[in-house]
Formats: sequence, structure tokens, C-alpha cells
Amino acid sequence: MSWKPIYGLLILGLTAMNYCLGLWLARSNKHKKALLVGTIFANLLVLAIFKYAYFTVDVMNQALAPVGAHVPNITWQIILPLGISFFVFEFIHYIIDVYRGDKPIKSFWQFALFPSFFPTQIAGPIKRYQDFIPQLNEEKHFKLKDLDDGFKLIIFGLFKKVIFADNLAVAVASAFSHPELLTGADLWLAVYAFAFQIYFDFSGYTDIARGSAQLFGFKVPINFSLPYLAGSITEFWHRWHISLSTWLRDYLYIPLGGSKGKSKWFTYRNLFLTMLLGGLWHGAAMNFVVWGAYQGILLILHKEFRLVAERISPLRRILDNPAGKLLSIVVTFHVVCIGWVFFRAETFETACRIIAKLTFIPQLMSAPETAFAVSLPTITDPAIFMILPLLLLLLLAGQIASGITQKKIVRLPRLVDIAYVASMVLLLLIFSPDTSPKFIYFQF
Amino acid sequence: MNKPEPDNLKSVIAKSNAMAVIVVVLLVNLAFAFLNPFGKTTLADLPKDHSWISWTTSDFVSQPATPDIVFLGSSLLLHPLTMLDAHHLKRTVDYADYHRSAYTEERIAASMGVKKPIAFNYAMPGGMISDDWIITEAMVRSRKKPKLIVLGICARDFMDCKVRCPGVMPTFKYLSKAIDMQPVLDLALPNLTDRTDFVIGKIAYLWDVKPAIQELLRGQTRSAIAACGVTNGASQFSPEQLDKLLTADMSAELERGMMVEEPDKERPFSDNTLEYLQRYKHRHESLFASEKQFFEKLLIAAKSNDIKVVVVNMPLTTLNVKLMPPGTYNEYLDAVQTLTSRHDAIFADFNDDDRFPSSLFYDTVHMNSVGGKRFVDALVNVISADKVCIEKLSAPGAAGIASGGGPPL
Repeated sequence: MSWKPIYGLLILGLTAMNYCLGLWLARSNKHKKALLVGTIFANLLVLAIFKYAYFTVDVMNQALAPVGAHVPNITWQIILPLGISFFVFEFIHYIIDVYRGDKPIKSFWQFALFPSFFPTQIAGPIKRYQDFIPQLNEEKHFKLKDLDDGFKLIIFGLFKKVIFADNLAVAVASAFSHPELLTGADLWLAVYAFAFQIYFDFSGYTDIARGSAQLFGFKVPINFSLPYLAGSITEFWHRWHISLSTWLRDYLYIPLGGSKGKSKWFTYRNLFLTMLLGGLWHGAAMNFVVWGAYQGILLILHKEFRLVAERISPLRRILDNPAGKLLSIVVTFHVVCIGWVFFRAETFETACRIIAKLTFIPQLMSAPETAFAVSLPTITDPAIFMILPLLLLLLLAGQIASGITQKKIVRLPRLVDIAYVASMVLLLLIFSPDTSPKFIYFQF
Repeated sequence: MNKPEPDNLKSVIAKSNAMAVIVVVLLVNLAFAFLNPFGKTTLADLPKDHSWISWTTSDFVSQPATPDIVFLGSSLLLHPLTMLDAHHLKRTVDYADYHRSAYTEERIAASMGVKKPIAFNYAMPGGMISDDWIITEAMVRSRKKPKLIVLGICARDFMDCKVRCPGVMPTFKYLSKAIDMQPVLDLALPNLTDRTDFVIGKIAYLWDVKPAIQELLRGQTRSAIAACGVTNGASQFSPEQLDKLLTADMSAELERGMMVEEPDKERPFSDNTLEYLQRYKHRHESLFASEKQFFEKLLIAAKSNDIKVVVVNMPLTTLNVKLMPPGTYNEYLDAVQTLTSRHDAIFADFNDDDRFPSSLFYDTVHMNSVGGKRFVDALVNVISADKVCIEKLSAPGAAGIASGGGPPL
């Protein structure tokens, strides 16, 4: 993933192409579908060339190996343009919505601002033009509230990224690079750490993006809504990377037929394909495909489980009481964590090795006394491991108090608000690690 | 009811929470900076970020005693001395861990009849004279003063066209936390943007002392954990395993095993003319002027701290010297000779084709291990011919302690 001046021409070219084709599509009565398919294909082709060329050749060579055939390897270096997965999805959304009857954007400059709006260009949230373009037409005046709320969101985002994601990254990298050296208990800790690392990394980025947009008086959609408090995998996907999951729903799942088929298996097929392709969208590697497939299977299993639970009333009663709800949250969190192993592991083999250790079975058979030994926090940074939960409480308290997790922002008393945000900045100065890895979602 | 929007900058500052936060953060930092509870940052407090300079500094701090001799310079000095030791010690040496010059130590002891000194190689790849100055300042400030500094220099160290200004070099930036930068700020960071960046970093006092605060917390947490009877997880791992685990997240400049020298293995010759065409592209007058001042500052700092300096004009191939803009080499040499004699340092010119022919180089500037050996032999002859050097190296104890500079780190 990188940026080169020449890639400016790529986004400009795609912008011009989608702008013209969008206008044409709106006016056209004949061959509308062919035009739509052609435009989507052109967008996906660009994405495929830059993102999936190496992967496709690798997969083809693996498939052809048994028959002795071979596709020539790509010898030139393809650099993935920054943000390509996000702006290509915004173009596809635009083209499909225009095809469905929404009005196209008339002004080229307004259209060009839609994918290249700097706060969201690199890693989203994936915007909808119906929400964004009217904001360009509004008369903008400086508002103190925009400055204060935008600033606060940026500080929240930095706090999440630098304090949590970057500090947790150290322990996560140790464990995922050398799982063979650690016990199952340590690896569970590392998996929990990664679950929070990726959440804080991406939601931190989103907060910074939303805050930056708000400084200019723009609103961009929220992307997260306390996803680890989800009581089911279906609910998790309503709370995690919301702009992507709604995009997948509107432009993949529904066009595939959604749940409108005659049998439940038709719905399950669509669900599975949507999540599989959603996994592949994250990265051109087998572990992302497996992760996507895993999410698809979980969603199907959850639907089946719901059908069973509806039939068995004692089970439904258990699930509806507070303890049952808590248990659902815990179980959902853990199945999501298992998925993160595939997401984070460098290879599929490493992921399998980690999963095997997480089950404790190999350790219990060989050295049961060390299987549950925990050393990761003490060898990396014990102070940070002790302090992070306290800082998490501080973050949560502030977020809940200022209602940032909901759409409505309730103001704290001024002095409390100032003291709270200032203390976050001071803690950022003290507890930031020496090195700061780039945002995880920049690679997509 | 909505508050009326402020219509001028003054009322924005007065009414904005964001502005108030910035003011509070500045005030807290200024208060801490005034009280300065963490004192001065020393070499031992600097972060171990796996850069070349952090590996070397960390090794310097952990030496059993203050080194008697410190080599300063660039890769022109770093590589031949390290290669030489790989051959001499008949073992693989890793640039991350190894910063001594065993051959120099033995040759000094043998030819001068003194106790084997500690010779530490603080030469940095791409090092400029300003880097050598800041290392000297940091050593002095941290009370780890050597008896002798061997400064291996060449014209590039004064006028590399790839270097914007002294203050942006990795070594300089890293060590700037351990010295008082105020007197050299204009010289090191002539650009307003760089200087503003530096000043903001300094105003954020808590950011500046972050390593010390984190280390303090780490130490206290470890003690608390130990007091609770919990064993440190590190004890379960071998040093190699621990190193693997702790460096997994770093995409650092230098990791163990990344760059090593093996015994009896010479690098084949490679032509780096193109690289030096860039470095010598034009006369970088402003940098040359700054670096000359840093050179003089180094000599003054060494003299006032009773450290003898041997300045060595490093051998280069004639091919490389010819790439320099006309007149540059002579101008550099004149300046160095003048300043060296003004501040009572020893000057040795080893840039001599007859003594160091191109067969002793693995590219147009770097000597191989054979060149390294010839270099050290020639250097020892220079040192052992100087009365002050003999006196210093014959004196018992490390200079840092002997000169009453305070306890070693």
C-alpha cells in the first residue's frame, strides 16, 4: 500500500469515468443493465489488477500444479494505491443507486469531492452520496460546536489508536510471530489483545476521520457501535464496520437475492457468498478468505440456532434473561476472537497452529502444568498491561457521559469536559509507545 | 437554546473547549518543565528503538567500564573495523551487538605496553561531523568520558548533498534529548519548520520525559508483581527466544542477524559511484559552514574535558575523490588541518594511494578487513608516537571516573 503522484491520475480517471457513465446511465433507456454491468466491471477490474493480481496468479498456480501447468509469475511490482478498496466501493454504490433511479450528481467537482474527501478517502467510513452531496450544497458557517466536537473526536481517536491499539500491538506481534514459544493461555491473551487492538485501531481511525470532517462542518457516518457487546454474530455485524456491512448488504447480498428466495438455503448461500467476498475485500490472501467464510458459516449457524430457540421455549427464556444475555455476549465475543486469529495470522498454517494451541489439547497431553501459564504481560510491558484497563474505564466513562457512542452528543459541564479531554492529551503524551504502526485498515 | 456563534478569533479562543484544552495542556507541560522532576535525560534513558544509534548507545552504556578509546565517524570506519574483528576473532559479529575494536585493543596493549584498553566503535552509517559532536556531548554529559577519541572523517561528512541540515540526521535527533540543544539550535536546524517542530517537542515536556516515566512505572510494576509472588515470565525463555518475542513488532532499522560480518568472508567489489555522484552533486555551502562549526565545537568540548582527539583523514579511492566538485577536497582538508592544530588535536592524513591502494576497498570508499587492519596498524603508530596519548592510556582507571566526572552509568 502506498501513494505515488501518478495514482492521482488513477482516482481522477476513475472519477471521470464514473461521472460520465453515471450521467449516461441516468439518461439511458436502452441497454441500462449492460451499462451498469460494464461500469461495475471496469471498477472491479481496476481493483482486481492492483489488489488481486499476485493472489490470482498464486491461486492459479497452486490449482494447476497437479497437472504440471504454470501461469507466468508477475515480474513487475504492483503497488496498491492508498484507499482504492474504499473509493471503488463508493463508485459502485453510486452507479448502482443511479441505476436504481436515484438522481445522478450534476457537478463534476462535487462528484470528484465524493471519493476524494480527505478524511474518509484512505479507510472510510464508506459514504453514501445521498448523504454527502447535500452537505456540499449547504452554506457553511464556522460553528464553535463543530470545532469542539471535531477536536474531541480526534483526541478520542488518537487515544484509541496510540494508547490502546499501539500498546497492544507489541504483545500481539510477539505472540502471532512466535506462537510456538507461548502457552495456550498466553495465546488467548494475545487473541483478546488483538480483538481490542483492531477495534481501537479502526474505530480510532474512524473517530479521527469523523472529527476531521466535523472541523469543516461535514458529518460522515459512524462505523462502530460497541461491537463486542453484541449478543449474536448477526448483531455483531450490525455494530462492526457498519458502513461496510451495510454496503455488502445493499450491493451484494440483496442483488444476489437476499432472503427473498423460496428456501432458507438460498438465503444461506447468499449470506455465505456475501461474507466470503467481504473477507476477500479485506485482503488478497487465503486467511482473509477463510475469515470471510468463517463469518458466513457463523451467520448461518446463528440463523439455524434462532430457529431452534424459537421452537424450544425454555431455551428462549434462558436467552432472554440477563444471565442468558450476558452469556450470549461472552460466547459471541469468543467466536469473533477465533475469527480474528485467521485475520491476524501471517499464514493459514500459523492460524491453524494458534487455534490448536487455543484448544489446550496439545498442551494438556504433553505438559499440563504449563498450559495455563501466563508470561506475555510480564515480558512485554507489565505497566501498560496494568494501566490499560484503567485507561479503558476513563475512555468508556467519557464516551458514555458525552454520548459519543450514540448519534446524539450530550454536552458535559464545560469545566469537566475541558479537564477530561486535557487529561486524555496528557496521557497520550506519556503512554504512547516509541513506535506507532500504521493503521491496520490502511492495507485494505 | 443555542449559544450565539462567536464572530472573532478572540471570542473563539475564549469560548472554545478545544482551545481551553490546548491552553491547559500547555500550562501543565510548562509547570512540569519548570519543576523538572525527572532531571536531565542521560544516554541510559534513551529509548531502545532498534535504530543503529540505539543499539550502539545501549551497548556503550552497558560497557563494564567507561571505554578508553572511542571511534567516531561514518561507515568508512564502522565497516572495516567490524570486518577486521570478524576475521581477527574468527567468529561472526553482528552490527546490532558488536561495537568494540578488539584488534585495536590488542595492538595498543602490545605496541605501547599498557593494559589492554576498551576501544568502543561509535561510528554511525551516514554519520556527519555534527553527529560526532553530539555523541561527544552526550558522553560528556552522561559522565562517560573516554581518554581518547579517534575521529575518522572525510569530505562527505561535511557536505553530503543528501543531508538537508545537521539536526535531521537520525543520530542527531536521537541524542538531542540527552544534551542541551539551545546553543546549537540555529546551527543544527536552520529551517524554521524543523526548528518549530523541535521547539514544540520540547514544550511538550511530558512527551520528552516519556521514556523515564514509562521506565519508572515499569520498574514499580515489576516490583509489585514480584512482591505478590508472581514470577517474571521472562525466566521461562532463553535469551534468543525472548529476543524473538520482544522484537517481533519492530520494523526497525537494525535487528539482530540483519547485518553481520563473517570470518574469512570478504565482500566482492561493488561500484557505488552513482550514489556518490548524488552525495557530491554540488557544493553544499551552508552545510559545510555548519559542519565546520560542529567540528570546532567537538574539538573544544573534547579539550575542555581532557579528552585527546586524533583526527584521521580517512582513505578513499582516487575515483571517489575525483567525483567531488572542484576545489572541495582541498578546502575541506585545509579547514580540518587549521582547526585541528588550533585546538591541539592530532591530525593524521591516511588518504594516501600508496599506503591504502584500491585493492583494500570493497567499493569506492569503504575499506575491507585487510584495509581495516592496515588502518589500525597505522593508527596505533600515530597514537604510540604521541606523548599525551601514551600518558593517558598508561593512566589507571577509566577517564570518566578518574577525572571526577561522577559515577558511571
